[in-house]
Amino acid sequence: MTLRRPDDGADPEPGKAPQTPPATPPASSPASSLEAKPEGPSGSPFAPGRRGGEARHDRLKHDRVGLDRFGLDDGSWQERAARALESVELGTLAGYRLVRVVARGAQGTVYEALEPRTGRRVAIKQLRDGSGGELSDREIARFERETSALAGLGHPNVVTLLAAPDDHGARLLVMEWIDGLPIDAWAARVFETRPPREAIQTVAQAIESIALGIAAAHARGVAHRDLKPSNVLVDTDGVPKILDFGIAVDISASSTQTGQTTTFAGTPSWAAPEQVAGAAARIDARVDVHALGLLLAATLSGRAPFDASLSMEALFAAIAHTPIAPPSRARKGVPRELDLVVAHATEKEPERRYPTAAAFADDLARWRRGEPVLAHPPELAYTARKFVRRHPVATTSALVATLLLTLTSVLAVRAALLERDAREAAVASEAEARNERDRAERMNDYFRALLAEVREKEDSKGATTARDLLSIASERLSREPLGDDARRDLHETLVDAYAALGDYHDAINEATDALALVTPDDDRSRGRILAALGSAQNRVGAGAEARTSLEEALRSFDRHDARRGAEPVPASVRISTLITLSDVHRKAARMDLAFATVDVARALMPPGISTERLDVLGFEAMLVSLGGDDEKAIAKARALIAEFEPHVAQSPLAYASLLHNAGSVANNLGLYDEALGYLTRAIALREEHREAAAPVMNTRVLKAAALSGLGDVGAAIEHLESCGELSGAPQRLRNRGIAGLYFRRDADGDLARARAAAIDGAGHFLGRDSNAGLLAAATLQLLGRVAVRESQVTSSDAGATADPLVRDQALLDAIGRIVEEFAARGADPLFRPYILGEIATSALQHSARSGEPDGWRAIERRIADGIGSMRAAGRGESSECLLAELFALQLHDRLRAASRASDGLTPAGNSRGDRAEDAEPDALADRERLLELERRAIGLLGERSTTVRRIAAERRSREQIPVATP
Amino acid sequence: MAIPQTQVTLVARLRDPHDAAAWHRLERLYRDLIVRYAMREGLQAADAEDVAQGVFAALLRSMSTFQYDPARGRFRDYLFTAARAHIFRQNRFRSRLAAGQTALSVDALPDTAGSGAPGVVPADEDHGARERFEQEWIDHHYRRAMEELRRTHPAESVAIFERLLRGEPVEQVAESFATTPAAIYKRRERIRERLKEILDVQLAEEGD
Repeated sequence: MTLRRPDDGADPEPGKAPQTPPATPPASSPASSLEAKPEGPSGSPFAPGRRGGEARHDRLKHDRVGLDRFGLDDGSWQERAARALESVELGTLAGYRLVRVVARGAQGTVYEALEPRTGRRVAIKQLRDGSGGELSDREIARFERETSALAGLGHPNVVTLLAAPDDHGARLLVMEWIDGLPIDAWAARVFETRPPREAIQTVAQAIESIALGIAAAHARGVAHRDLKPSNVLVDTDGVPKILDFGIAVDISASSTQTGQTTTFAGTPSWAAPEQVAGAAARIDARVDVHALGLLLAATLSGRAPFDASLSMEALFAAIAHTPIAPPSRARKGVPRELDLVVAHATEKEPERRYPTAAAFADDLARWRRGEPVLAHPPELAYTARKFVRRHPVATTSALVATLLLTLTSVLAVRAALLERDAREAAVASEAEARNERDRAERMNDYFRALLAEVREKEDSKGATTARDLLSIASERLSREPLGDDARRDLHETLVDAYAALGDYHDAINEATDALALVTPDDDRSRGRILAALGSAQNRVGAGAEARTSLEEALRSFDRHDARRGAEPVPASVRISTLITLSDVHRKAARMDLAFATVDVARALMPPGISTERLDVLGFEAMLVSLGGDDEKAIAKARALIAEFEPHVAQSPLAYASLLHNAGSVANNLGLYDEALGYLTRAIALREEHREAAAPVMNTRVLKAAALSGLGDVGAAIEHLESCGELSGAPQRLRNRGIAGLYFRRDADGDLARARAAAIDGAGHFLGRDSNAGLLAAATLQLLGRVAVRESQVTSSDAGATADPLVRDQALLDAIGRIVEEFAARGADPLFRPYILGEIATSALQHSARSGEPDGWRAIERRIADGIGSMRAAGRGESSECLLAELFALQLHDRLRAASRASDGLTPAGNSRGDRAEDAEPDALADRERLLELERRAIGLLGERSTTVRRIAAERRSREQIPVATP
Repeated sequence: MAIPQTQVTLVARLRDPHDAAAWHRLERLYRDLIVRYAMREGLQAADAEDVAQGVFAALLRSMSTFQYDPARGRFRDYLFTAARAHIFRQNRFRSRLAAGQTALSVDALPDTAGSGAPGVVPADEDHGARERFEQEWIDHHYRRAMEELRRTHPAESVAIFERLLRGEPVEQVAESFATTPAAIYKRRERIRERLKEILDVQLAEEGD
């Protein structure tokens, strides 16, 4: 017997080898109320723990370091002395055994405690004790609302709230125990132990994680309001954890109303201007954005932004008026972008800060990826303003520029300036205006590119922010005194912006508005807008409308070119319109038209090597593959690759896209080695040329599939896991990929991870326009199989594998858990019948048993109810609803089979006996319903839609007709 | 000065197995630390007492061979290691009891945990546990220092200080002692200095 980890039983995470040694108590806001004013550099009661921790760490230095740990030279010695008055037995609270007082103050007490049954270590915060005041009803209400919101948050960067029990009237918060360092002390260590560049990256990334945690809480309506270094611990794995969420007491109230000279140690120096101004009405979630900026400044520069030893008056004045010193001033090597991020986050007026914590996180992510930060534009705004002044008649684009600058809260440009320019523009001559427009176009392009970047943030919060922004832009457009030309250009910009966000319905609306403003002879603009409109219509599955728009666009281009003296429409514009049209035909199952359209595009290709050629031929190869002929597709792809490989530099991203498609086809054919080659190269190109994160991840997922196809599931998982921190769509793409791989890796321990990753991955595809499609279906089907596997594990643990009832219950439980988890993660309730149906039928398919009717009947009922609400919400004709109906039918069928089987076992004369006779007409009715469903689906979605195919396959299987593969 | 040994540390005196006084004093001074630490690691009071018993019994047994060498580790490292080992044994004992193996007693378990000399801290030591022990060790010295303070410092000053520690605002304390906040701060400052002296002596005695 060896002694390795003597405390394995008591450690909440056995097997975890901590790397950062000193543990600092986790929750600290109810700090000592003994101080006349905050002491020490940070005022944290735990400062000595850190300092001592570092000293102790240096084991070789055997001088008298002991006394340093006693905190005699800073604020914590009284805390320690007070603890000496505590008795040995602290007793219990709500069943937890208290083992130590971490901090005791006027607001309550924080204990370290153990859960007796499991030995798990927790932190308990007791919000009311003998010395503290009573909580008001409002505070209790807020406390309850926020704890319930946070209990389900489950964010990796927010300390987990385990319970919020009541103990004889005392409000308790039970939280996970974190062994870690406050973030400022942690950052200091990072700078001591790593090269400067790496340290800056590491620290900025930690702050980004914290911002994401804050954003997640904001999404649930909870603000922190007391974010400061002692409330963020970085655990032994380097993961920052935010403590004391939403329960912080308003600073201005505690410091000014009680008349005491005491307050939370350290807190005022981390407050936002609106907090110290006592303007309660103005305090919102943006105080957390301010605090995030302060945290970034403090960790990068190694010092607190405001000197806590100032008198309260001086401190408050500084917070209200003194800009935060750029971190680069205190530490060499801090890049200017981070200075700008700090400055933007800590603007004195909340309206001028990043609008949300998510936006702050996004900007840090942008910096991390080497992209320009949004906080950049002092220069941009300067440029824009100068531009407006210098070109008063450059009507449209400058206005777009300034408007968008304003809206993206890059910098507020005065409304007066806008109005003046608009007035001047109105009186300027047509000719001058046209002259200026060309220059303005460049500006416009810049902003379109900027908005295209937004595409990456497909996750809900990013998209919401950007959508909000655009709806403001759109709304403002109707009020702005503009000429038709300007208005049309602006609508057109919004078309692109909405399309970049994946908001195709809004893009269609904007395009329609823009179209109405086109002058009769401006065919070039009409064609351009129609092409954009058609593309958006294609995306929402409005095939017929898309076809009309695109064909009209091409006719407009023809009319324009026929006009004498007109500069012809570039071939690239026509080609991309034709490719979109071909895609419309493909979706309508008219492969003949699709190929014919590509042939037209091919004729327009400029001679020689060109991006257009690559686009056309690459799309053609994809068409061939989607037409079902992978052999032919790979041959075409190989030829194209051979042709373009020497000319990569000319259009690297189009070439990468070709490689991606070739890899996908090779995977389909089982040519994994070949796929691996294409995909590896595609990833390298995409990364080298800064392709957006989502396409890169798409290729990575394909590469993982190739690796896994070659039999190396471990390498595949590693490949997906090794791509650093991600957020939004790329992360979900990755998770979906990983989910499948975990499931494949044949270890029960990975089931939970497969489940979590799959749910996260599926969430991405639900609640968005245009498809619940194959990706979501595949992910949900995977979850069905996870449920089956989990139920097998559970029932074999229970030693009851033989009992079908137990097995069935385990399966139902597993499905229930998955669906609950979806709900907890905020999946649109309207999608639940679809989710439930997909999981349940897939589970039944893989479980090879017919099921115990009662539990399944409950699922059937839930799906039926869900279909009812989808119809009520006007989504009765969506893919998801049609599929939910299909699942309801399939389940019904299974249940009938099951009850027939059990009827066979029941004695004759049982009342259920006559059901068997009913079965035949029932089945006929089902077939009718399936046909009806299929007809509806074809009418709505076209013959080639996956939904139609699935319904048809089900019908054929019932008619026992072999399913022909297209 | 209530603590006589400032030159020869208490721990160094343990080398003489016949210095029973040193032995008893050591146990009296540190037993409380072990008990509290064991309870913090989740043991019940009675089990924590057993752990302390075990630690000091092992220390006594090995006293003749016990070589205290500051270069190899401090006394509190030794205590930590021994306490961890005994807590582990105690937990194992409990779990065996729970599993029905009642015949075994703690002492019947093979002693592989190394209750002997310092330097047996496992390679993958748990920093969380070590940090908890360090915190208990600091608290322990504070407790002793507070006792010393009560014995040797003007009673009124100590009373004022303890009221501050319980969270009373300075103004309020000043009023009930008919003095000014500034005077209260002054007394508190004096106590801080005094505690520093006491702690310094205690650590010196421990050989830290």
